[in-house]
Amino acid sequence: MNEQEMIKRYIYEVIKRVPQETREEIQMELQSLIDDMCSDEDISVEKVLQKLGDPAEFAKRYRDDHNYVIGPEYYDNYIWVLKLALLGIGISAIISAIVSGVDAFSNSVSGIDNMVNLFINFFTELFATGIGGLLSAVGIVTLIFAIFERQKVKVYVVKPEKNWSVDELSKNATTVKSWTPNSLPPVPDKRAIIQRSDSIVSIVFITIFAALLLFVPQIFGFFHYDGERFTSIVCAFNLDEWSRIIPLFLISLFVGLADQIVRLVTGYYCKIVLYSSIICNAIQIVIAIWLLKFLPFWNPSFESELLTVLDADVQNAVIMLPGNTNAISNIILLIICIASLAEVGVALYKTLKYKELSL
Amino acid sequence: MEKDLLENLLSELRRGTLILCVLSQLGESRYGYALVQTLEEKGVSIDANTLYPLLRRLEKQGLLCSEWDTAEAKPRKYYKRTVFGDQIYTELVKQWNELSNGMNDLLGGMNK
Repeated sequence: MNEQEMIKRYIYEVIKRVPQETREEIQMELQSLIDDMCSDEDISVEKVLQKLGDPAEFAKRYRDDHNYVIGPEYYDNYIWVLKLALLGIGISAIISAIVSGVDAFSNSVSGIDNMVNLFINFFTELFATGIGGLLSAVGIVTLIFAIFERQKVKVYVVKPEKNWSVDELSKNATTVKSWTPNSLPPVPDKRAIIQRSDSIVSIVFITIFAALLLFVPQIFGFFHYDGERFTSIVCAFNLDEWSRIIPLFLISLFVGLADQIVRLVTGYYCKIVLYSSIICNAIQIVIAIWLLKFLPFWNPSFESELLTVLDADVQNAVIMLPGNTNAISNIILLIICIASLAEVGVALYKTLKYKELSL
Repeated sequence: MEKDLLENLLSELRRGTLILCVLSQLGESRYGYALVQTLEEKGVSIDANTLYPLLRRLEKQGLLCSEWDTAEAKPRKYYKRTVFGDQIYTELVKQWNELSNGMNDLLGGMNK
């Protein structure tokens, strides 16, 4: 490799890591720096580049950004939510392992071999679900908090003062947050405080629900126990179309999880909670309409499957089931809308009442 | 291990003074590498990979302004203190003097 090539490579390694708009200038800057160092100190290009050090490190100093995903401000809450999510994953992994075990057990004849199979089945399922769920839970929670971390940086940036004219011109001005005791936010009214336990319960349930939907959707349906063993499970969802349904379902739960984390982190009703509540509930309603009205959400043969499973004398009870899935969809949508309105309403009422909106 | 610790503490101690060093030399236009040499002559060693990003940052903060000189064979970027930079520099020098007086008092016992 000749010297010019080496310089070219070094500069490229630096500028590919800095913001687009600064690249051209940094390239010129480095080029003239390296030239100067070479001619002045009369040493080889290799030694000069060695002296300048790792280009990645050089670029990092140019970027001037923090290099952590979750900063100290969020760290405690992050770890805590992560624990809750992992608890949820653990519980759902056990449930799905039991379901799968029961499934295997009910389909087999008795005997010691089958007990062994049962255990193998149970633990395979436990680990498969547990590890998959663990990875997704860590990923999703980290993603949500990483977004918060980035957003918070913007929230706290104080506008530069008049004589910092150059600063105003530059696009990504980094300004120091100026703090005075006067800028201390008021202690929230006790009645505006959001119970941590509410958020915790929601987060754990959302996680369990998401993991169950993901790994054992068949348990959302009908179990039949004939006195000796469980038989065919009739699922209420359309598992043939599951690959189209599950992503939307999970997005909706993810949005709900984000909303709960906002509540947990802020700790009281304020405009952030209010906006988050409005946005998240709106998204969830749209997704619910999409799922229930435009996608084949329900198992089309739920009723007929159920009838074949049930004994004749129980069939009378089936009359009580609404035969029309459209009606069920409408009822569920109505419930979701009412619940969302109630949630946003409470947030709006408490935020306005306890004057946090003016903050 | 002890040497590493000392190195760390020293570089931390120097880091705070770097900006003042750089500002002090930019009453008149200088380009980055010339600044490295000037500072080195005065016994302040600063790596180019620290100085160049620092100069950009100070410019972004409005303390320095820069201009490319493309008339010469090698194009170079010259930095100079702005009026605002002058004000800040003067204030920093004042603070530095107070600080170093205070430090001398504190470390008086060691200096004897």
